[in-house]
Amino acid sequence: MGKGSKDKRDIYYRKAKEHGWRARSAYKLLQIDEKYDILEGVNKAVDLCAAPGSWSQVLSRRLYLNEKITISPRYDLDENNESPKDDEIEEEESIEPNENVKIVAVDLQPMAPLPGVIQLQGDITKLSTAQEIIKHFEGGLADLVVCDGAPDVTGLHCIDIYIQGQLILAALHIACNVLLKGGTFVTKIFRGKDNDLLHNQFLTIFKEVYVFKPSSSRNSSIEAFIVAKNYSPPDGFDPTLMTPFLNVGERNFDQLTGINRIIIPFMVCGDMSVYDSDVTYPLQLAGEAEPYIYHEPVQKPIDPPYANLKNMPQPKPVSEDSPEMEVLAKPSTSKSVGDEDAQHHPSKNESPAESHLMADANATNEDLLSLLVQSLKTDDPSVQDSLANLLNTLGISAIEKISKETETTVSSGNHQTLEVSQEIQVHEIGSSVPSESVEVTMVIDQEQTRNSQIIGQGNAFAENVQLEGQEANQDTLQQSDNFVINWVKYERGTCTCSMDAISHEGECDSDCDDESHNM
Amino acid sequence: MEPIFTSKLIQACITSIKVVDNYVLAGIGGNINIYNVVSATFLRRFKIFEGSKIHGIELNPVDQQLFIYSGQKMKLVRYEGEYEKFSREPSFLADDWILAAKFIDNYSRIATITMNNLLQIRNTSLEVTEQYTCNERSMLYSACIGFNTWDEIIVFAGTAFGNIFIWKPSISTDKQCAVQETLKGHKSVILSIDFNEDLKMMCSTSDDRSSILWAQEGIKHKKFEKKCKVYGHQARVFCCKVMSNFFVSAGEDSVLNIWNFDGSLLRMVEPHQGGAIRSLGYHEERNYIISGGEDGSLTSFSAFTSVESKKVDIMPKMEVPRQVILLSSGNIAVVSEGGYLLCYICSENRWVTIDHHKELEQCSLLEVSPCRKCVALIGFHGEMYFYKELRGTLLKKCYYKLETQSKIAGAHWLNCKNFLTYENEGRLFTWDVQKNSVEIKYQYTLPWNGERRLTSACLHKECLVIGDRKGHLHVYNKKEFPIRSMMKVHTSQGVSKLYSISNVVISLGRDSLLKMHRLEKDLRLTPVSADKLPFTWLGSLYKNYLVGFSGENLILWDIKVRRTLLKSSCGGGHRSWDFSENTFIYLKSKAINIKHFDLPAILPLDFISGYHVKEINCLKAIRIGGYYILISGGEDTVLRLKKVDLTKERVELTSIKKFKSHLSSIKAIGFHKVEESDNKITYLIFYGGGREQILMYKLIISVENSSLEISCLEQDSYYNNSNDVETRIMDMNVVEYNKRILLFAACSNGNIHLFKIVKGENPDEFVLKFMKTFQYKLRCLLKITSLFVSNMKMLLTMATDGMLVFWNFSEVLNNDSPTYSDAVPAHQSGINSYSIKAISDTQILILSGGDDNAVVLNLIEFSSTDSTKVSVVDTFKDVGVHCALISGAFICDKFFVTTAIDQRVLLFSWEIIEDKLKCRCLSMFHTAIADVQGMECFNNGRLDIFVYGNGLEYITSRRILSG
Repeated sequence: MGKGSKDKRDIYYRKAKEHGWRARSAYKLLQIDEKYDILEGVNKAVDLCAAPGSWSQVLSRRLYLNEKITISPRYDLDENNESPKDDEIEEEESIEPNENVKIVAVDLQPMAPLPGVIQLQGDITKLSTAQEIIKHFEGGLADLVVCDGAPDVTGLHCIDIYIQGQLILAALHIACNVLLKGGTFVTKIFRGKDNDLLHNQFLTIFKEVYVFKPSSSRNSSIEAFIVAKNYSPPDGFDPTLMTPFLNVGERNFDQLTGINRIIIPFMVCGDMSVYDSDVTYPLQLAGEAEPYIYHEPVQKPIDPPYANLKNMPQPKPVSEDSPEMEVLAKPSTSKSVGDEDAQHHPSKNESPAESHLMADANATNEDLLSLLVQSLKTDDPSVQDSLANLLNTLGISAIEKISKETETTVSSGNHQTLEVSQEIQVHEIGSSVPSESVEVTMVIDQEQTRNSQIIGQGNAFAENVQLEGQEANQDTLQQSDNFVINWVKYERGTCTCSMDAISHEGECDSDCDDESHNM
Repeated sequence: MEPIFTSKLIQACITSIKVVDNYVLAGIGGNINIYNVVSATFLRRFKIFEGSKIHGIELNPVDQQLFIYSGQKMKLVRYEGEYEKFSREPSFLADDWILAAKFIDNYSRIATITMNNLLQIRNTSLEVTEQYTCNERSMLYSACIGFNTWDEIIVFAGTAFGNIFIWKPSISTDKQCAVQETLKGHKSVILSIDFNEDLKMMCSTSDDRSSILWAQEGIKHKKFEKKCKVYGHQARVFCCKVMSNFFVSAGEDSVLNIWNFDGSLLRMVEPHQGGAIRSLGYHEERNYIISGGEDGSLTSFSAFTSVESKKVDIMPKMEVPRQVILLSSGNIAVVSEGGYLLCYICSENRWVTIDHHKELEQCSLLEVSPCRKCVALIGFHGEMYFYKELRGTLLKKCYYKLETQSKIAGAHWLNCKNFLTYENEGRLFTWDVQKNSVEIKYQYTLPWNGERRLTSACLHKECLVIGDRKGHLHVYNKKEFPIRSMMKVHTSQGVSKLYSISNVVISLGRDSLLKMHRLEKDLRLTPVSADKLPFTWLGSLYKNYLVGFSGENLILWDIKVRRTLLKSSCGGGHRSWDFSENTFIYLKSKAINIKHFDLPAILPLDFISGYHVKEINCLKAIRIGGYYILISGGEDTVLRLKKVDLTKERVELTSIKKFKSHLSSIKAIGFHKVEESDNKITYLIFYGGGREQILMYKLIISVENSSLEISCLEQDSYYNNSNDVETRIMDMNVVEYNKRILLFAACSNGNIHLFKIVKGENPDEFVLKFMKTFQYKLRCLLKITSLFVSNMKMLLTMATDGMLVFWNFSEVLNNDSPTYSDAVPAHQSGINSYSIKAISDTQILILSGGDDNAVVLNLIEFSSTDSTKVSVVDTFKDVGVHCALISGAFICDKFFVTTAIDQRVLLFSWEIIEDKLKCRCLSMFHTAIADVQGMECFNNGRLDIFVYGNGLEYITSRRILSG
């Protein structure tokens, strides 16, 4: 996918980048505010599960910096000449920040600082976090608590919804402990199985409760927001004693369909003139005078837990005849064996096969350089192999040039080849101009043709060029799509097209003695 | 409310597996299915819970009890004999989500550990007798209970932050327990924990893609130490199991890895078509691993691969092998660097020297015919020797010397009689190979495309099809130059193999693609399908299997089931390799390597065959006799045809066919009956989705002796030829109007494409002709349909603005940019489901469900004077019965049914009294299918409902319509 592709698919993603929001979810809070005026007169606000900080950003700009933010398309379509300057105006004229405003953002992870936002690294399931928040308000209580947090999802909907329910209750627990009477609480929910029971629990401590779906949330998305206004706990309610783990369990469902059921109104953002998050908009919007420019994301994602995966050597299965395989060969019933095994090799080999650096589809320049350095130091053919692989995955034509220039075997020409490749590599990666990459493919192609002819002259490098990277890279994908485009106009007739076709084997019509053989 | 619906069939993710003796108990939705391990046969099915997934099964063999839990629900069920009967028991509710459970103290009590790190002890009436909390009340994602007596019990608790807490409930003060050990090693959520009590080894898997094996070490202070940490997955690792000699990890990337206790990878298997693996079981006696996947399949396979490897590194006369091929006898023909042709008799480990050609010292080509009985040995300068296999060795047949202009660069057998050679300068010959002679048949020239490199060739219907290094395909008849050239069929590395199989040409590339083409009358090759495989280098086909390479491994891929059967380390794509039957040979470091596979042993046994790997977005059902034909498509881009046989006592879902031709996710299916005779019905099936692609198939169903013969052929396709890859087709409607078949396709950018379907040149074939595109608004369209009211055909569209929009057909067809005639607001936002019922000539009922949680029934009247104007007579609206997006709706006489992402299926009654709608909710059913995307509903006196989403559930109602 090209750079603009996601911009086309998701107008809010694109608008968020253009207007400097850290995430598209900023629009959700803005739309909630538009509908329910939750930010009106708020001086003390709390953002739970704040990272990467788009909601804190909204709070900071609307409350602390006193910005007016309009979100209807008119902002872009009619006043587009002014709109990009909005940010600049503040910097130039520097509207007086409202120093009365205090915003506390809580998350487990740190996030980039925002004006007027106090960051607090803490766990929202702990009461101590609530006490810490109140400290920052100098004894006061919050007018508004927002929470846009979502747990790590497992992919099994039932568990995810349950965990999200627990998270909401934790957030509610904090909210009850820091909210002023009459205050507002906004939290994200997952609309799923039996979740209405959870929502109903809000009615016991808030006077007005709405379930709201902003139009910036996609049609297919299961998320919605609970907007609970006018915090009014019952008499004698001690929020510190409230357990953050309320029972969100499944109950008798008859109460849902009975006569006395309470239905929380479900609202969708009323203004239909705003963008539709499901529409594929053209990059150049009608009425937009400025030509479309691609914007980089404001806040790149933080390092995911698997960030270092690409540095991990991908293990290869041991060969079938190795002694290790014996453990699989026999049904493992003997239990005494295990005890012995447990004594063996205490934590040996923690990072398996480190010496076997291998090509990886996600390889970076750093990986490459480290490999190059290593290969310069050693004569190990496996390192050389990996290097060739890696270069190949990166689509670098260096190999070709090397093999042409040296025309020697690897063992004798190591140093020479590697110097060359190092030079070229920097150049190639730095400028991935399409025209060049075409050339690269061609060059490698020739090399491989030579191999496939099995002339037996190809050196070890050339052979390795053939080794594929483990993953198809993006380019291959796009090219294959182009292919389909070329084909659109072909006419079709009848034809079987299922995979069954493959089982029909080709008949052999030779003069072989045996007529009944297969292909 | 009385229960009206019953579940007949669930095809969904297998969330738990329990292996006992020779039986597999598998939790599918709220059901337990029982299979025989040895014969892989289905035995019985028991319903345990309605609408929730079974997460664990614990066995008490003494009292013949099963403790079954599902989230907060649990049951203690008594079984009889070999799981022949289950007692009906009430289900109990825990305070919190149960992550793990265990029978303790001689099966007298049950311990459960829940998400908030709470251990509860229950008696056999499932009442909580004791309760222990850990002082670390973190949210747990996984847990495991070790040992089975109160004094010994330890709890392993896996947190969201990557730590594992170990605590012992028997050591407590005031029922509060301190953490005894904190194991740190993972960076993120612990997704599963398994503890082997005999070995005292524990395995944990995580979001960070790693698995860690921990072992209790030390004599005095037994502590868990990290034994090894392994990375073998490209996505989250969902489950693990520690066996006596090895441990297994499996995850979201569909890979199942077998490791030894030192962390060496022993095997890598992908049994579930790319779907995540959610559950594992092990049959110790047979050494079978059983796994359950998100594609709904349950598979067992032997842990042992039985691959025999052999290395032959000594050749006669100290020769070095240059090229190897497999003969039909299984023996190996080798040409050496010294120009020797040798034959290796595998069974006797013996070499036979066949021939020696001094002139072939420099270079040579050894090629074997498809039947593996004819061998050609070609020299650089035009020397051609032909051999035939006889009694296990080779016999020379004939010799030809071609006067070459340049070097012979390659040669291929087209079949056992026809041979092809090509030269560097692009000259190409085909040869007629007779018994004792060889003759030139045709001469061709390769077109110049920057280079001339032929990589593959085949004969197809009297034509020669060749593939080159650039990925182009050329078709020749008898003329010297190609009649047709198809550019860039494969990318970067060219076409690696071409096959002519029945009436298609199959091309393999090194771009992961297996493509099928059809040769048209004008000798064009048109695409039939393109299948992207999870590895790049596709080598060759053998029956239903494909041999390819991924990195350093040989891959054996099952084309029909779409899964990797074998991944075997071989060092990668080799200079010379061959595969046939059950043998793979390759050259590596001057030695001939032979690998024998026991294919039947490698093939996994499927207890349940797979369905869609991801969400099913759309499903249409056709009722024929005692069968339902289900056509479904989803996020996994595969269109599947399944059959439900109602005549059988136990309803079964059987596979008919699957098609992997769509490039992106499939969002909509439409069908239309075009022909019907006594025993044959023909439908046109349309499906579309991402990238604005629409494919048209012809489905022919013939009824013979009350069994169905089904064939499905691709007819035509449409593909948006612009760079806009993000626009999706959201819904389609096929309609017959003035004896023309029209197809409307509604897109995510508010456009509606109109096509007509006409007969092609061949009267049997149908062609999709694009007519025009018109726009509704810059709104994402979600549904499109057509209706017939007061002698008028109308088009009805629904989008994310919640309006029911009516279009006049004649306006739509005759106006270049038609405008809609009227619109009625129904929902606050997108309309995701609808159903229409005509009441009278001018009145219709439109039932709709949206993402505003509302079920809306509108009684709509068309103006008698101007039928393009509509008015709402009355509206029924309910916003409380569902608490999520309503994705399915169906209305019939007196009743209507809705379903939503909240997994509820609701039955309402409706009636109109003096133009007022009176509706009442009658019954609620909870489906086990998560993320419900819709339903197909049939009214046969009783309601037959197929609810689809993350799987499929078939439910039926009691005979409601009579009373």
